[in-house]
Amino acid sequence: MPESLSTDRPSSSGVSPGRFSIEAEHLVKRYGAVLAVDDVSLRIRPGEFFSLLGPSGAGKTSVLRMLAGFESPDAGSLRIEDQSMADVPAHRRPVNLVFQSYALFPHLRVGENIAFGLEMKRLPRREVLQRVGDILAMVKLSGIERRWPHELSGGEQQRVALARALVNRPAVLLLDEPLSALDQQLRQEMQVELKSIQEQVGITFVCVTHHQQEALAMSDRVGVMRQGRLVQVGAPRDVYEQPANLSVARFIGESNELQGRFRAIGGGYGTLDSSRIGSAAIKVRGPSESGPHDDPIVLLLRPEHLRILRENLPDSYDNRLPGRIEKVLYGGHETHYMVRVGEEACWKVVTSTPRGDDKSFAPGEQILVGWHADDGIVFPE
Amino acid sequence: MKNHPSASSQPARPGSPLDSSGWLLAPAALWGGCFFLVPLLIVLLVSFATRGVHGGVVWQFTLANYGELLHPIYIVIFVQSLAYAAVTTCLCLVIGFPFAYFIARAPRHLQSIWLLVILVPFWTNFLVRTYAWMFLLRAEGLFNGWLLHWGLIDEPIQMLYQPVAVLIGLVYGYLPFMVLPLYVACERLDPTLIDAARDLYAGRMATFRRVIWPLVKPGVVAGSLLVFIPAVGAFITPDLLGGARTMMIGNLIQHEYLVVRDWPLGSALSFILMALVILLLRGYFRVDRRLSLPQVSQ
Repeated sequence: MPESLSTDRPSSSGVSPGRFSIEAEHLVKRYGAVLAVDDVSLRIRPGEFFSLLGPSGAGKTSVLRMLAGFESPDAGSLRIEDQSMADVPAHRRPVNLVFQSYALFPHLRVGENIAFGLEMKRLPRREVLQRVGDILAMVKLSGIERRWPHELSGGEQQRVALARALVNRPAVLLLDEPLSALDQQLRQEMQVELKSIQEQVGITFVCVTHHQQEALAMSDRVGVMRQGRLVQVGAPRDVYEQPANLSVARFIGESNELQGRFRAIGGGYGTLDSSRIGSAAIKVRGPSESGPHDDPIVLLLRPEHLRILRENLPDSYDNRLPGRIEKVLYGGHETHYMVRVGEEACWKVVTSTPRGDDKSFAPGEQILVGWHADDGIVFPE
Repeated sequence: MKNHPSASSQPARPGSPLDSSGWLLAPAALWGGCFFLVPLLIVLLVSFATRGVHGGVVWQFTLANYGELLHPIYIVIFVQSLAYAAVTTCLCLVIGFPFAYFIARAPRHLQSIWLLVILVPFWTNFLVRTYAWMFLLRAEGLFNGWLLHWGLIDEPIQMLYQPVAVLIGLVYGYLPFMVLPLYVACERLDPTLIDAARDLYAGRMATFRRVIWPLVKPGVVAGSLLVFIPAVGAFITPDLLGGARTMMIGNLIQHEYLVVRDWPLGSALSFILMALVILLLRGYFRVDRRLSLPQVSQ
């Protein structure tokens, strides 16, 4: 099985595996006056599941199109499997793309769609049929070779698109917002499946998505893009817990923010004095580059790191702020609370839903919001 | 209940607004009945009648008119007309396809300008435009003038009253009928499919052959029909640009009706022309369906 699924590229099966599947150096792409991709350098290891994450217009699709060969960079260099891609057109690159709209050929049956790339490579008929059958089995759609694309559901079309790309055993599989057209349920199933298929075939996956949960769930590493720049690259956990800057933190996950001035109190900690919540001094971990006193900072608190406490309970949280429950949104496995803290701030708190209703809170209730100083993320403003 | 065997994959739409609006057909049906079906019937009857001694129609049944059409001279004219129409269609396709593709890929606001450019000549009468070609092609016309001026030729080339002049005129006249349906087909073609073909190792030619062509073929079929059918029956263009040497069926029919005043023979000619076109179309569609047309699921 693994033998038949390995890529056709000699470098990935033989003596000297390339150190990197993809090496992009200082890529720049302009569309007219718009700088779509601004000095992006990126190294992706063989067999890695790498996601480019960013809001629309961040330049991630442009990067993907340059990898696929549909666009050529205005500056910078690109190597795939240790080969320069400078003069290699799209149809000669060892990559295949799963299109956002799937782009299945409407005039070809499912089997013919999947066989397209293999036929272009002039593989013998028997091998083509064999491979098409195998790949359909892998995406759990055996026996639909004779169907037309328009007869398939969205989820099935998605799998066929995946099969059509994977059947060529590319060195790198590119995925453009692969799950965006699926409904929530199917999307979650496909995340698991995509990940397991990737582990099975061992091909490098580069996935572009604006859906952060998707990127965090599937990827070995995530590259966060904003306004054409690659802002942070790291494992999903690092990107979520140690965002490189405020914009990354705001884009990935939800967060409550509190502005104030920082005063060091030693031991790497300090206090945040905020006019927005009165005089309460909040204990925070100091920003990584410790500046002088009275620096304006922003404290970022993830909703799941906050706890709602009844006033009478003793606890061990570093910080406690009085607040009032405004809204309760019951979400099954978790409950979202909107809590008014101080005069203007309305924070979101997420707790796993307690069983029974003895521990839940009602709108209007006066409570305390508590958290550990180490859970807050501090950025200079 | 079983579906009709040739039913398309599209679901039937019971209760669609068209069901209760059959009366909307009435004006068209009335018009078509009075001014198409009835005259057609009259022509059919005349084609089985006998020519009077001084022209006119004598109502005496005969098959002689159809028999006369088997004469080689008529067969040659038929074959010639079909050949002219076929070559015209091919030339229109070869010239029109790249143009239609180019327009469809142009930015939106430029598309309408290009389409306008195609349609502007229609604002001028066809006869006037054909006369204009005569001025261009004459021995002392613009083209010969240029060629002489630049010393490319020593004496004028005979361009007018040649088959090539007829072809130029036909292609010029019918090109828009090819470009418009092709433009619609190309415009509907999803460009990501072309990206997908390239991504799957197809070069330019393979992308065209395997993806672009099959997908725009409905437009090719429509355009070809819109050019071929009127081109077979054309008569102004061969009359003015082809001179006495070129005779197409249209000229022959006109000749029989207005010059020889043999109405029955002219009617028989008209009917044979119609039957021929219908037969050709049937054959064309049959071959075409066998070749592909995936939209019709079985």
